[in-house]
Amino acid sequence: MRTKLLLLATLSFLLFSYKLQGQACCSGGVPVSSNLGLPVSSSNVLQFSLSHDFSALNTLKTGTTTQKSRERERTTQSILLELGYAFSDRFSVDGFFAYLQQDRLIHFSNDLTRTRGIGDAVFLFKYNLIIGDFTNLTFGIGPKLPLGATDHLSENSPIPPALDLQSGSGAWDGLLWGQWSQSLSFRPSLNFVSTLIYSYRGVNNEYQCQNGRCQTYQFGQDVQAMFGLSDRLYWRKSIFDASLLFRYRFVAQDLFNDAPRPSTGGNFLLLSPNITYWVNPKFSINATVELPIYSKVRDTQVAPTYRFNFGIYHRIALKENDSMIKSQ
Amino acid sequence: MKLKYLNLIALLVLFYACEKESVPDTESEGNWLIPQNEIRDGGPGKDGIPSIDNPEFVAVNDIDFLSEDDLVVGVKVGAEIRAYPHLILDWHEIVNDQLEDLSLALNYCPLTGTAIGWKSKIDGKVTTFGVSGLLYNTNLMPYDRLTNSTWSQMRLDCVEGELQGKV
Repeated sequence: MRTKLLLLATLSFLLFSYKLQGQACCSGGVPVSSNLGLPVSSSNVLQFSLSHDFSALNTLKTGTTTQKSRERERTTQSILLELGYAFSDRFSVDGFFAYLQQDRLIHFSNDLTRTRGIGDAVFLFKYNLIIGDFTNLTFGIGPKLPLGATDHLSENSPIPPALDLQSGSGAWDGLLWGQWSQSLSFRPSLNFVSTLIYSYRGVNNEYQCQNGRCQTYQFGQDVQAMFGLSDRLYWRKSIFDASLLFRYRFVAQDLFNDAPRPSTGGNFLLLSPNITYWVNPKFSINATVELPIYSKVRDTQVAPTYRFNFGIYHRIALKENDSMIKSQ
Repeated sequence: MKLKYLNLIALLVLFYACEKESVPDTESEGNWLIPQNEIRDGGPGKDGIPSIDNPEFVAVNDIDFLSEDDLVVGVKVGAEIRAYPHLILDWHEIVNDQLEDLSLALNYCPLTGTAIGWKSKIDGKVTTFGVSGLLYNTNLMPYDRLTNSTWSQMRLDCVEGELQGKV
């Protein structure tokens, strides 16, 4: 009963928070890549994660220099649904779906450009190469399907906003994903975790078509490396998982008709604390904050200011051999 | 098992609720003098590139941030001569200035490399111009802050809004 109430309360919060209409990168690229990868599980387990993600890019930067101007705000709110199923102890597949609201607000003219829609979907086919008592190593590969639209209009203009404000990219991407975790013999709950993600960004060949002729647009290639530690904590008979991750992200320049587009791409180092409360062994509520430590952008851009994610996780054993191998 | 169904029902409600509030993807009834499908969103948004209003000037001999080869846009009104460096215009694109009795909007497009100064008095009322964030043939489209109408730099006229057709 307590689980159901918590589930309803959390879903209500997710709905309410979505309707808060908070103000606003890029076809959901940040929220998707930041949340990719469900925990490793045993066979015949269905995993389900639903979260609300709020990403704000309000810090105007030139290279590493922060500009004084706070005129520009870009926020992306996402409802993220991730479903995962383990066919065996080694093979599993994750599906990642998003619904996005992207805002661009200019304070000077109070001009708000807003788009909403279903984002691109990611499928990640994972293989557990090492399943040990202390070490786990998992690799994944998969496509990003261009399910999101690229022609959304904002309410205040008949001109479609730029591609980075659209919920879809209009291109097929490919992802390589790898995760390593190592726990310590004297404290098995303490894990060192490292994740690598390479996103090959495909080309949108139907960008700004006019009289049968189209431009091409390709988002910048994206490499991310995460490293940190997580531990299980017990407090007042409750179980919590806490983690602290560093995330480094390199994004190459976007290409417009094969030419580098100014004010795109950069290097970012972010710090990401997370807390997960286990309501029961199959259901948890989690919150993550992400804060920038270092940003170096190409030319002048709005850079990450903060990101917040709040969600629930549920796992369902379709057969009786349900036992979790590792927490995330 | 009930929890599974509860999850799925809640999920459907959640996505349905979101979808109902989405912006309709219908074509606008916008009235433009130029083909609407040839206008592009440049990315930064309206006033995302901030104009300079009432700029401050320094004497030529006091300038230490330009080299001999740096380009400027020169304006002469009566005895007054002013130079607007490309280096600054690249960041702001529009300067709203006053030279003697003339209200001037100097607009510069870094993409096409074109700079044009036009009077910013419309029907007897002085206004300022800002960067609309839109592009027509990769060229700057200013907007006037009096009526919010959109102008084309290369056409030298107003292409949308209350002042449509004004030159």
